[in-house]
This record gives sequence, structure tokens and C-alpha cells, in this order.
Amino acid sequence: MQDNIKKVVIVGGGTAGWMAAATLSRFLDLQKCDVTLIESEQIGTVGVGEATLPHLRFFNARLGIDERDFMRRTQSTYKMGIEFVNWGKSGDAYIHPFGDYAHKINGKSFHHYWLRNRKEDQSFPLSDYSLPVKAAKANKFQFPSQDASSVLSTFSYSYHVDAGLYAGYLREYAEAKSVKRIEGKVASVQQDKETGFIQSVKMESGQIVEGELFLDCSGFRGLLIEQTLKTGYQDWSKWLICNSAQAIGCKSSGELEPYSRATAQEAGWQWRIPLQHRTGNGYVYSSDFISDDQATETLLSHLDAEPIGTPNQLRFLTGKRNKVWNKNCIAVGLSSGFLEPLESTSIYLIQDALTHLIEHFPTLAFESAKIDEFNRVMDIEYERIRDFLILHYHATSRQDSPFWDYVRTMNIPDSLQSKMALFKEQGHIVKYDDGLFLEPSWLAVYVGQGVIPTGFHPGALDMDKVRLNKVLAELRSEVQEAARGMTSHQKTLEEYLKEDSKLQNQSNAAASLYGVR
Amino acid sequence: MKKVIIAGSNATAWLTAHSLRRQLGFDVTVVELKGACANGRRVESLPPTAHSFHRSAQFNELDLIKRTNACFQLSTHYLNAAPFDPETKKSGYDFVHSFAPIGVDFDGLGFQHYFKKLGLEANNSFDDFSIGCQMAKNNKFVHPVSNGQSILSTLEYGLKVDTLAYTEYCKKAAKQSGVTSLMADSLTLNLDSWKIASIVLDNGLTFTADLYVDTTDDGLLHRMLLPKKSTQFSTPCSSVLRFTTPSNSEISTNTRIQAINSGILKSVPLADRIEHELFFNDSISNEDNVIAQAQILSGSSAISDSEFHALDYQVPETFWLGNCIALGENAGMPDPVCGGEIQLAQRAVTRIIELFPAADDHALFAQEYNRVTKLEYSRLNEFQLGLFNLTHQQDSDFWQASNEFPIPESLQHKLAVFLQSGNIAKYEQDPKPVSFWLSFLLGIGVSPKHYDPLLDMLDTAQAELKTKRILEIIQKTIGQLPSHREYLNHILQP
Ligand SMILES: Cc1cc2nc3c(=O)[nH]c(=O)nc-3n(C[C@H](O)[C@H](O)[C@H](O)COP(=O)(O)OP(=O)(O)OC[C@H]3O[C@@H](n4cnc5c(N)ncnc54)[C@H](O)[C@@H]3O)c2cc1C
Repeated sequence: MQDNIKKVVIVGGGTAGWMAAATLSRFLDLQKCDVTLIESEQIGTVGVGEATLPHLRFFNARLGIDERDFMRRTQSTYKMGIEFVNWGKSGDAYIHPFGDYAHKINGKSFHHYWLRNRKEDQSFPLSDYSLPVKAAKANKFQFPSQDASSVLSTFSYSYHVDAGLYAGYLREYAEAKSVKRIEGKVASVQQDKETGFIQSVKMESGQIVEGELFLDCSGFRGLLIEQTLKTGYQDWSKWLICNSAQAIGCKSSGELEPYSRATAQEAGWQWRIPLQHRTGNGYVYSSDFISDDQATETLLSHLDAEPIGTPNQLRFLTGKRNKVWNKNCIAVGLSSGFLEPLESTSIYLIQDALTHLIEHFPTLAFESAKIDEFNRVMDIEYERIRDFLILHYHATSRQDSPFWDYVRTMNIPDSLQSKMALFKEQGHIVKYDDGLFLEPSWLAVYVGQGVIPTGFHPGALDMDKVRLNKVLAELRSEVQEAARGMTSHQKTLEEYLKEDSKLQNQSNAAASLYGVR
Repeated sequence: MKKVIIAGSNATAWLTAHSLRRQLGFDVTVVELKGACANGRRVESLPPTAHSFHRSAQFNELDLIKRTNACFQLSTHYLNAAPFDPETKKSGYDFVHSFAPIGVDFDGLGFQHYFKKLGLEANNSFDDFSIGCQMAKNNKFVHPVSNGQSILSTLEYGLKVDTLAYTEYCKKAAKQSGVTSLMADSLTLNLDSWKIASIVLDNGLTFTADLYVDTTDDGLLHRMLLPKKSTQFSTPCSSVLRFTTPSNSEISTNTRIQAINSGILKSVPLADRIEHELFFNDSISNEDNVIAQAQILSGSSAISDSEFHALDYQVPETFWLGNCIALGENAGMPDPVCGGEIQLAQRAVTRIIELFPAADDHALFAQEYNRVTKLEYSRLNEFQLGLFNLTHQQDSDFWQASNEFPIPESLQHKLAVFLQSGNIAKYEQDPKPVSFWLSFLLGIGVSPKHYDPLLDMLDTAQAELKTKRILEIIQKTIGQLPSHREYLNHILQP
């Protein structure tokens, strides 16, 4: 036996807190290690995380959660990507799909041939080569195939989920595995005088909760990581300038779409997320450019059905905690930093932190190299997502408001600057070994936002025009036919979730955004 | 169509020429400069990644083996015959490091944790759980199978190739795919600020190209463009003695890397002979001593073709400058013991193909190429310095100096993470996979202080049964496999 941790305290019961509790209850033996979660009903949760990434399937699968049960209980629907409306310029729309475009030709990325063809000959939209885009636009969804030779394996999927219900669902899971829950407010925090390690938290009721490892899931306030440990914060708001949001649900209307939508507005953007029982909406904006009242007006005037309740006002500062893991405290969720939900990365980052925690689970020695390694990989992850998000704002030709003037002309991080330059020149997409958004995602957003390279890779000249046209036509018709044959989103959902359904999902959950082909 | 001129006549030159021609359809000319490529090593062990390169180059493996007399490689055998050290209680290492991963992961936790937790080290060594290591130890070989149920599907292998034969092979392929070549005794350059405007051969002929690739030993073209050099990615060795001995009756699937008092002896058994390289530091050992050592170690006076070669860590400050790329030994050898010029070239070519600029101004793509290549070289150098840092021998000036040789922070971090958690910190652009680092570090004797604490929370009975089962399966499988020579004979028979 090593010097194992025997007491873990999770402060916060939002999505982050309960995802953490569920994970620990799955991987720890709670006979040997006590896990306690503290949450305050009075403070409540943010609870607006509704759009997710395919990695959540993997998370659920690791917990042994049954997909049907999960979907029924959380009012979930399927998602194959995000549609961005009015981003590059007003009137534009493109989908960033969970899938690749066509496939390599003679060892070279497909898009070089597409670029060449666009220049020389005919211009078919890039989306004609993506099954998830074609299917999404036709409101179709069925489970991806595992057969890597089939075009039906070129995508993955995730869910739109009611975050509040999901937290409740995980709570049930965790409590069934004997995670303890304490309701009430933390009033103060006690630290070791010498080391500064957190020893216990004191509740308003006077109860003292001791712990060896603390997970700070207290949301934006960062009760432990910031208010107690003063870890510090990297402010990224000069690049990601939105600082406010208003969220509101509305009644469902129209056909059920298998994708979320992010529509650029005068001073930010508005999301639309279709769930089974309602549609989630919200306006993410910068209060430096419009007032809250104007934001409310914009939000309400763009709902496609009757609102449910009144808008929920939120404030935030984009950026990242200097260290996500500091001493015996790990920040998970909004307490670790905030990147706006443009690409649905928040819940993913919760999951990512938990995966790395499990990988580098400390002993009472709190080995410094484990902490350094955890922080190193979280930093990389955060920064890569940051750059990808900045791209959405910066790559625009919109000149219709001061907000868009600012983001269009702002200085961007060098890391992004050089990536964009390489793409603009001849469509080169910088690769990294591990990371969330890979070549297909960068391509979708670059092209979708109107960044069209001047050239293309000189290797794409290796076939004659006639043949290239033929190859491309075949790829388009493969996608089109496959999309035509797919079932509607609504029908798949109904079939799958009805009592004694016969529909089986054969696709494997993986920690990847894309399909298997 | 882009025009490329490649200066040099070694494997690097020809495989670059062939790939650019084959994969991009470019107009490629090789200028074979007399005496400009003489220093290359005689044999190289190519890692499993060579297969995908060969596939893109449309090299058929069987054909390659037939025509170059290559053989298969499963592993590297690391040997440190240092006696037991009473102070540290450490004896030398002796382990087989295979390309294949070891054991299997249960519940998402790496096998190394189970190995420690279940106390398997009492009766087994880590490499007992690898089919690759066990095949190597018993001199067996078959190709991996694709049936995921079989343990042989986890197998990975490389190739041991004779450099000259491999060069000839690439040359022939290049010529077949339409690469032209010229001979020259010398050449000069016409420069246009930081770019090559044209090259002029000694016979007066002038050539221009979009890109020039310099594979000459001392970076002839690159030096004319920018004479400045800097020391990067060095190691504690300054020189190498190359020599040959006759082969044994069996053809080993190993390469052997042995720590000796004065440095490292690397031996690569081929089908017809064994090639050796003795790496040493000439400020510590003189050449006569080194020759004497080589003779003793090879157990005979039958060493032939011996020659000394200085390792040059002075490299150009950038790899791709203007329209000229330094490639091969002149661009640096971050891992002279474990690496090799052909594998460096294979990766570099893949990168050049990906980044080939369409426009005349290469600056942007050169910068990206340099960034990525530098990362890769740092990774390779880390691995190499790991070997020097973690090998200890008493009474050896060489090893004392090696142990004091500074290691980069990234390697310190990697070692610390491994010691504390048993996990591998993964860095960008590392050609060596995590499983490779893992079995190397365990083999060389870095023993993690802890297994993953989560294991105490799990029921390990199942895992225990499974590990036993793996051992049985490996034993049983080994018994049914042909020897390396038998297998080679079988696949090579007409
Ligand atoms: C506008 C907006 C839109 C979003 N959209 C998405 C999306 O589409 N997809 C996505 O993945 N993510 C999205 N997110 C992020 C997502 O909402 C969060 O990642 C997720 O809700 C996790 O929040 P949390 O659990 O960290 O914090 P919270 O939900 O704020 O929970 C904090 C918890 O801490 C407790 N607490 C705090 N202080 C105390 C105290 N003193 N004593 C006791 N308990 C305390 C609270 O009671 C609460 O239980 C969005 C976020 C915002 C702001």
C-alpha cells in the first residue's frame, strides 16, 4: 500500500462537480477513499452547457452509462456539427462538422485538389464533400458505421443535452456509488500555515469538512483556487472580448435539427440548441459594445418560438487560471478558466481535466512532477482551443459594427498568426500530434469564414483536369447518395428512445471529434 | 512543374529525389558530386515508421529485401556489463527493447502499473510480457498478422539495411521514376542575396531550380550560402570507429547497444556480416586504445575495414535557408548512436513534400519546416542523452563525463514524471511513441516510485489472471514460430 489519498472533497455541484464525482466514484474504491461533494442550492449553478462534443460519448461509455437511458433522462438530441451564420460576412453560413472532407488523394490532403479545381474550373462548395454537413442540412441523422471503407463512417456525433438534468443524472450515479453530498454554503477555508495546502472547509452551519485532495468546482468565483490560493488568472479578453451572456429557453419549433447554430450579431453571437423538450438560446456579447437591454432585445427578437421564462444574465472574463492544479487543489470547470461556448469546449475541458487527473492521480506526497505535467498539458489544450476560437472572430470581413471592426483588426497571438499565414498562402494546415481540433476543423472554419488560399499545394497538379473533375464528381455523388439514404433525425431519435426499441447503435465512442474513415 | 536539384549521391539524396518525383511529379535532378558523400554509416536500423514511407515511395518490401540483402529487426538489445555497484546497489542493465508494446492495458491503466502493483518483477522481467522481445531473444521472426485476436497482431518490426545497397536501390527507383542525374567534380553557386540563383558545374553547365537540397557530407551548398554554424544537439561522444566482423550462423533480429568502459559499442548483425560502431570521446580515449578495445570485444582479430570518423555537431543555424535545404548528416545528428541518416531523411522528405511552396518566396514554409524539424531533433536528442545519462559505470572517465553531461529541462521533466507516476510525458514531434519510451526507461532501470494509486482501488484479480495468460500465450506462440533465417529463406525462395 502506498500513501494513498483517503479523502477527496469536491466543492461545487454544477456540471463540473457532478462529472468529477461520477468519475471518481467510477475509478476509486469508495470503501478506501471517501468522496464528498458540497453544493449550495442558494448559490445555484450556471447550468447552461448544452452543446457538447463527441468526447462526451466516450466519457459516458467509460462510466458504463447506457446511451438510451441517458438520452431519455436528459432530453438529449443528436449533434453532428455547428452551423455558423453571418460570421465571415452577413448572409454567410457554414457548418463545422464532426467529420473529415472526402479523403486523401495520392497521399495529399483532399482540399488541395478542391482548391485547384475551384481555381481552374468549377466551384463546388467544400460542404459538398462532407456527409455530416449534407446530412445535417437535410435534418438527417443515423449512427455512423464502423466500416472504415464506407462513407457512412466519415463522421461522429455528440449530443445537445439539458445540462441541469445531466448534472442530476450524474448525481444519481455518484450517490448510488456512495459519494456523500453536503448541502450548504462554504463560509471559510482553512490552510496549513506552512505549506498553504488546504486542510478543510467550514460550512455556514459550522460543520467542518476535512480533505486531502480538493477539487474546486465552484464556478467562476474559484472559491479555493483563487479566493483561497490566489493562483492568478491569465486574461485573454483582448482576443476573446465577449464578457456577458443572456440565456433563455423557448418552445421547440420546426423540424428537429441535428446541429447547433451560432449566429453572429452586432456585438457577439447567439446560440440555438434544439433539445427534445425545448430549444436553448443565448446571446454572448461584449458589454463594452452594447447595453444589457439591447442584448435582451436582440436575443428575444431572434427566438423562433415563444420564450420560456426570462433571460438569465451571466458575466465572465475569458482566460485561464495560471495553474489549473495548485498545491492540493485542482480547478475543474469554470473555476479553471473560461473560453466562450462557441465550439462547445467547456464540458470537454472538464472531461479532459478529469482524464488527466485520473492519469496523474496523486498520493499524499503530491508529487511535483505530476502536478507540473498536468498543468503543462492543460495549458497546451487551453491555448490551442483559444487560438481556434480567435480565428472565428478575426477571419471576417464584417465592417458593420465597432465590435467586428475591433476583432477584425486586433493583434492575434503569434501562434495563430503563423498558422493563418500558412493557410492563406497555399492551404497548409499546421498539424499537432494531440489536440482537439485537427485538420478538418481548421479547414471548415477557414473556408467557412472566407479565408481562401491564394495557391494550393503544387503536388495537386499530379492529375489532368478531366480526371480530377471525374474524381471530384464521384466524391460528391457518394456523399449525396449516402445523405439521401439516411434516416431523419427525428425518426432515429424516436425509434431509438421508444420502449423496447430494436434499433442498435454499433458505433464506438472514441476520444475524437471525427469519424473512423 | 517545380524543378528541384539535389546535390549528393548518398541514400538521402536518392530517396529525396525519388519521393519528390514519385509523389509530386516534379522535375528532379541529382548532381552526384565526387567525394562529397563518403562519411555515411554502413548500415542502418530503420524503425517501423519506415514501412509507411516505403509504401508512399512504392517500394515493395520483399523486393527491397531481396535486392539489398536486408533483414528484419524486432528489437534493440541494450547491454551494460558494469559490475554491481555496492554504493547504489545497482548492477548494469541487460534488456531487450522491442518496437512492440509490452503487456496490455486494463481499465485504462498502463501495464507498467500492474507490473509493479502485482509484484511481477519478482519472477519476471518486463520484457517477458512482450511478444516482440521474446521473439527477438529466441531469434524468431514472422510478419505481424492482422487478426486482432492474435498476439502477433501487436508485433512491430523494422528493417536492417546495408546503406550502400539501399542507396543503389533508391537510385534505381529514382531513375526509373524519371529522375535525371549528372556527375560533377565540383560546383559553384550564383547567389542572389539569401538565395541560390543557379549552380554552375565544373564543366561550365549552369542549372536553376525552385529548390536545392544539399545532402553533401559537409553541407557544401548551404555553406556557400551561409558559412555560419553553431553547435546544437551534441552528445558526450566525439568520434566513432567503424569496423566489420564475420557473421554468426543465425541472423539476429537484434541490434546490440553495449555500454563499455570507453563508450558505446553498437553492433548490427546483417545476413552476411556484422557491422560495428564504437562511439567514444577522443579527449578521453586515444585511437590505439579504441582499436585494441574493439579487438578484445569482438573476441578476435578478425575485425576488418576499420575507420575512424569524427562526429560533427557544428550545424547550420537553420535547416532551410532561402531556397536551399540542408539534409542528412550536414544538418546534424541529434542521436548518433540510436538514430540514422536514412530515418532522418525519410521524415524530412515527408515534411518537405507537405510543405513544398507553390510560390517563389519560401520564407513562410521554410520557417515552418525549421520549427518542426528543430522540435524533432530536440526529441531525438533527448532520447540519446537519456541513454548517456542513465548508464552508469564505475571507474570509467567516459561514463563519469556522460553522467555530468547537461540534459535539457524537457528530459529532466520526463524523467521526473516517470519516476513519480510511471507515466510518460508526451511531447510534440517525437518520432518515438510512448510505448517505446516506456519500455526503454523501465529496461534501463528507472523504476517508478509508485504505481498508479488507483490500482489500490481496483480489483486486480482479473488482471492477475490475464497477465498469467499473456505469459502462457507468448510462450506457446514462440514455440510455433520459424527462426529468422528460416523465415527469410522461405519468403525469398523463388
Ligand atoms: C453563456 C454560457 C454558455 C455555455 N454554453 C456551453 C455549451 O454550450 N457547452 C458547454 O460544454 N459548456 C457551455 N458552457 C459552460 C458550462 O456551462 C460550464 O462549463 C458548466 O456548467 C460547468 O460549470 P461549473 O460546474 O464549473 O460551475 P457552476 O455551474 O457555476 O457550479 C458551481 C457550483 O459551486 C457551488 N458553489 C459555489 N460557491 C459555493 C460555496 N461558497 N459553497 C458551496 N457551494 C458553492 C454552486 O452551488 C454550484 O453548485 C457555457 C457557459 C456559459 C457561461
